[in-house]
Amino acid sequence: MNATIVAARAVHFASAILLFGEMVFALVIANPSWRTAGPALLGQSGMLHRRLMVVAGWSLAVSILSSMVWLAGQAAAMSGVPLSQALGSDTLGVVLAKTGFGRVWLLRFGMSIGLGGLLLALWRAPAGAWKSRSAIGAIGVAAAYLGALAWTGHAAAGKEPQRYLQLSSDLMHLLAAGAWLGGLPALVSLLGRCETLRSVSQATRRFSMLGLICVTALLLSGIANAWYLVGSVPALVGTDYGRLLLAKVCVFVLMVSLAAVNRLSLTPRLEHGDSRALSLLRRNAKVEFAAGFIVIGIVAALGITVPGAHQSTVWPFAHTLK
Amino acid sequence: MRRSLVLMLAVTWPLAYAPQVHAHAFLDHATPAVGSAVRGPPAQIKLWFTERLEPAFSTMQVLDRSGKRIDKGDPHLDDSDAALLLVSVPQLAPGPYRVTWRVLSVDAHVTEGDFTFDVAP
Repeated sequence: MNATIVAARAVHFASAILLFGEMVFALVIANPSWRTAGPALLGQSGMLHRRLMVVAGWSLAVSILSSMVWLAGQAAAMSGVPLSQALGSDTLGVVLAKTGFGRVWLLRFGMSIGLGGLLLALWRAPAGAWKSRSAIGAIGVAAAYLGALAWTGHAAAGKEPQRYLQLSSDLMHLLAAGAWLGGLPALVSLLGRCETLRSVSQATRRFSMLGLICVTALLLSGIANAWYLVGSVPALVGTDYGRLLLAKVCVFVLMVSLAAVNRLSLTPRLEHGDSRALSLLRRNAKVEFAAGFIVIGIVAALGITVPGAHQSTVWPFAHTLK
Repeated sequence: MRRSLVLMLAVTWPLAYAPQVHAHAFLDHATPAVGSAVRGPPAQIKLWFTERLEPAFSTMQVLDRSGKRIDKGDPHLDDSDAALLLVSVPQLAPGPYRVTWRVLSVDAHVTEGDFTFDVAP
């Protein structure tokens, strides 16, 4: 049952992150004049727009499916009955109506349906102001959809008043991860489909700036989260949760290092017309993207693991510091 | 896109072997205290947990020495403290009793456990 829940969580987080990140990329990076987009501009970025719609549509579908599997696994775990029985209306009904998890699930399910409608409107509508309003609406709902995951995690079980701090921190963490990680596939795609080096380097520099803001937000919120959920160095090495978190931090450091290389070395080279920098940037972005999946997998497991601060520590090393 | 999905699954697969779910709402303390012998029989058995609980899937039972359930079948959370689970019991005769509980914390983790106490003659 744990395997089902962890796998469903991982796929769901990845798809919700991708959904939000793609839209942020389109709005902030690739098509900065989206808000005032006229038919001509949209035609130029028509391919980008099509790609966004396809990726967003698939991500939404995968996120809805994985969220159903997550619900089923959670219902079985909560009630202690086998999965087939847990899918009956009795258990599911109680889970949805009478548990915090269920209520948040219903809310997010509603958001996903709303988002589906907005995406359909975006796809079909002719260019114009309405389209950009739908776009802003879609990003808003996608942000809420991703951010509401904070209420399904450990932050929601905290004691007041720190519960609000924990939830805010988690919210910031999720959105920053979404904007950065979720935008990487779009970056890889853009880098592979380059029009002119100049336009690509413009987008890369903008993404790099976004990455800087997101990494700062991830660091601050990550430290806050670790403070509440791990709380001490012994707990960091002496509990499963702490060790998983350490693994996550290591992969994060790898990603930030690659991003730093992109920003400090490769992007300037690209701006000076070095086309080799382009393929290196693309490769780095792909590696960051893959590392991001590993982080998401770790997060999926972290969510069902007892926080280090709430568990007794077993110091794993032979030596202690005295 | 399909490759990304396959990659996603490939990465999540090893996490099927992730650490076992450890329970989350632990029993903090109880009245009657765990393993204690009480003089006057209590009217309610109270369990305090380390996390707030979901009422829907949190339950407890009190069993006598032969394993028969003897509580009044009304396990419920305290109105002002969502981390306190109580059940009413009738007048308890002297002897050993066992309390078994299974609770769901608000962050959706299940814990269960049991302990014994004595009612002294």
